[in-house]
Amino acid sequence: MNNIFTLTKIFLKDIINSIILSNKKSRRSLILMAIVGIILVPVVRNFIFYLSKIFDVLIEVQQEALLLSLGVVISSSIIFFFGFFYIISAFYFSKDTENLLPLPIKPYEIISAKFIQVVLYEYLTALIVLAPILIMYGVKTSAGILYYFSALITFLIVPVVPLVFASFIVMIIMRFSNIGRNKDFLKLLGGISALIIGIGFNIVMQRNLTGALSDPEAIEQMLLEGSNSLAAVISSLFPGLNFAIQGLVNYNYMAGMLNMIIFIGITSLIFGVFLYLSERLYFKGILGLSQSNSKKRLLTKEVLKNNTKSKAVIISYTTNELKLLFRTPTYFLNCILMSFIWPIFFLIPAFSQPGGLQNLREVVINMQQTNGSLVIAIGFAIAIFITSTNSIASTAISREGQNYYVNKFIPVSYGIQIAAKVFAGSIIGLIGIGTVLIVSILAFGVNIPIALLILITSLLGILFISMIGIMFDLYSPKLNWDNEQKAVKQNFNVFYTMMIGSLIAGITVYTIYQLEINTVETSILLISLYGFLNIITYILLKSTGVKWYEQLGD
Amino acid sequence: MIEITNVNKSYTGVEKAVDNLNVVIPEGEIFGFLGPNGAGKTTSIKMITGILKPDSGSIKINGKDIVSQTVEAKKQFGFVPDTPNMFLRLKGIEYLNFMADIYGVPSDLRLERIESMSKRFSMTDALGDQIQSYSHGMRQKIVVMGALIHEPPVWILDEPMTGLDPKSSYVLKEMMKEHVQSNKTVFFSTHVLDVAERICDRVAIINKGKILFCGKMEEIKEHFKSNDSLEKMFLEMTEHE
Repeated sequence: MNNIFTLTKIFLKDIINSIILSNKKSRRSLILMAIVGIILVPVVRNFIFYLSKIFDVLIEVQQEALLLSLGVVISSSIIFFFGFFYIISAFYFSKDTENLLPLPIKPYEIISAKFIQVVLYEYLTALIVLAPILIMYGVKTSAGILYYFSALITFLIVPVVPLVFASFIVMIIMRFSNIGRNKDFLKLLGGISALIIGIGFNIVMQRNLTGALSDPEAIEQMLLEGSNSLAAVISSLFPGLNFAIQGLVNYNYMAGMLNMIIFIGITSLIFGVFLYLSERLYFKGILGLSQSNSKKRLLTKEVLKNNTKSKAVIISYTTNELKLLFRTPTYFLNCILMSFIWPIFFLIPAFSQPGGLQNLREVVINMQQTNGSLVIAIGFAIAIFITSTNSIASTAISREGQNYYVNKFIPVSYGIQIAAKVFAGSIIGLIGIGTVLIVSILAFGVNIPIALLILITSLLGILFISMIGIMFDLYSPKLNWDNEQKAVKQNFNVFYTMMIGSLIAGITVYTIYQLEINTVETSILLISLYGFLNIITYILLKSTGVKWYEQLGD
Repeated sequence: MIEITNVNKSYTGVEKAVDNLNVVIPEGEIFGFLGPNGAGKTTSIKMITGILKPDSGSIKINGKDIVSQTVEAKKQFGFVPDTPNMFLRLKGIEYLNFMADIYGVPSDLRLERIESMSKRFSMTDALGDQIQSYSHGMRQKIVVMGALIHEPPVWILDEPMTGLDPKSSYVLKEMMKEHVQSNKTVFFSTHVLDVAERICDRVAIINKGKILFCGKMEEIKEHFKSNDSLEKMFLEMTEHE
C-alpha cells in the first residue's frame, strides 16, 4: 500500500513539475493562461445559462433526474473514450515504467499508482462535463447537504469503471501485441486496435441508446412512470451508474444511502477484479517494450544511392518532421491519428441509428442546394478544427525537447525551420480535411465543386491556424520533458490553439450564415480575409517568432 | 580559425558562467579545452556554435561572426555535441542524408563520404537500422559522421571520446590529425587528460568561467617547473586557484 502512495506521489510531482515548474518561461505561460481564462468566462457563463434553462423545462415535466443521468452517462462515455489515450500512454508508452521494473515493486502497485494518475486527469474532464450538472441539480432542487456529499462521492468514483474497462481492453491487446521485432510498430498497432474497439463500443452504445430513445411510445411510457425509469435505461451501460443516480435522487432516504453504498461496492469489486487480472497481464505487456531490434544488414549500393539523393533544405527538414511524427508512437497517436479520427466521429451518429446515414445525406444535399455557402463555411471550420486539434504546429518546438539545441547549430535560418514546421502541421491538416471531403462526397453527396472550394479556402485556414499554433509554442515552449507524452499531452499550447481554432471556426460559420451570400462570394471572402490574416501572421512570425526562437534556452 | 574576443556569459545575471574569454585557435591546430565539470566548457562551446548568445564580446569562425552572420558562420564548422541522443527514430543513413541536405553536400560526394566514413568506423552494416537501436558508442559515431559529412574546415567536438571503443577512439584521433595536416582547425573539450596530452597542439585550462592557462604542453610543464603528469597539474590548477 505504501508503495502505491509513494509511486502516486512521484508520478504526480512529475506531472505538476512538468506543467508548472519546469518551464523556465513560466511567467509567459501564466500570462497566456490568464488571457485564455478571461476569454473562457463568457463561454462558461453561456453554458451554465443554457443548462439552467434545460433544467427549468425538465423540472416542469418532473424529469429533472434525466439530465442528471445523462450527465453521468455522457461523462462516463467521454472518460471511457479519452481514457484509451491516457491509459496507453501512461501504462505503456511512458518511459518511467522501465525504471520501475528492477525495483521490488509488485505490478498491482505500479498499476494502481498509474491508474490513480489517469483518474486524476479524468477529473479534469469530469469537472467540465459532470460537475456543473451535479451542482445545478442540487441548486435547482434545493437539495440538502447530504445531496452534495453524495454528489462528491459520485464525482470521485464515476471515472473508475469506464477507465477499468478501457484499461482492460488496452492490457489484453498489449499483452498479445508485445511479441515480435518491431516494437514501435506493434505499440502502434496495439494502440490503434484499442482505439478501434473503443470507437466500435461507442457506436454500439449509441445505437442502443438511440434505439431505446427513438421509440416515442416507450419514452412516453417511461415519462409516465416517473423520473427514474428513463435514467435506468441509459445508465445500465456501465455497471453501478444506476445506483449512483438512485443514490443522488433519493439522497434524503435510507434507500438512497443504500444505493450509494452499492455503487461504491460495485466499483470497488470491479477495481479489485481489474487489479487481480492486471497482475497477470501488465508485466508481460511491458517487458521489452522499449527494446528495438536491429537488422545489422549491409545496405546494397543501390539502396545507399537511393537514400543519398539531395533535397532542398526546407523539403528535407519538413520530411524529417513528418518522419518523426509518424515513427514516434506517442506522436503518431496524438498528432497523426487525431487528424483522421474526426471523419469517424462524424460518421458515428450516421451509423448509430437505423437510416441515420440516409437522413444525414438528405440534410447535406438539401443544405447544399439552399445554402451552399454554409456548407463551405462548415467545411472550412472543420479544416481549422482538425488542424488545431492535431497539435503538430502547437507542439513543434516542444517536441524537440532537450535536443532543441540541434536546431540552433545547424546552418538553417530560424525562418526556414519555422516554415518547415508549419508545413508539416499544414500537410497533415490538409490530408485530414481531404479525407473528410472524400468521405463527404462518397457518403453524404457533397458535390465536387463545393468540395474543391472547401479545399481551396481550407488551405489558407489551415496555414493560418498552424502559424498561430507555432506562435504559441515559440512563445512558451515546453522543452523539459523525459517522455514524449509530456510534450504533446501535457502542453497548454495545444489547448490554446484549440480554443483559438474553435473560436475562429465558430465565428466564420456564424458570419457566413448571417451574410446570406452565394458560394462564389463566400469563397472570395474567405480567401481574401484569411489571405490577409496569413500575411499579417507571417510577418509577425518572421519578426517576433524568429526572435523567440533565437531566445530558446537562453 | 576560431577567434574568441572578450566573451562573457551569465545565466543568473550575477555569477558568470564564462568570464572574459579570449582565445584564438589558428588553422592547423588541435586545440584542447580542459576543465572540471561546471567549469564553463560546454557554455563556451554553446556560444561558439550559436546555441547560446554571448552577453558581450565577439566570436568569429573563419572570419564569420556567429551572431551577425549566423548561417554563414555555422556552415564553417561541424559540431559533435556531448550527448548523441538525437533523431533516434531515424535510420543511420537517413540521419546522414538529412545532415548532408542541411549542409548542402552534393549527392555523389555524400555517398562517397558516407561509404568511406562508415568503413573507417565499422558502421556499414548499421546504417539501415534506426539510431535508437544503436549502443552509446555507435550513436556517438553516427553523430561524428553527421558532423563531418560536409568536410567542415573547423571541427568542434564536446567530449567526443566518451563511449567510443578503443578502435573508434583511435580512428577519430587519426582523423583529427589528418584534418589539421590539411591546415584546418580542431577544437575539442575533454576531461580525459591523457588524450589531451597526446594529441593536442595547445590546450586551455578553464575553471569557474576563466581561462587559467593557455599554451603548449611544454609551456604548461615549464610553467609548473616540474615533470609531473598533466593530471596532477590539472588538479593543481583547478583546485588551488
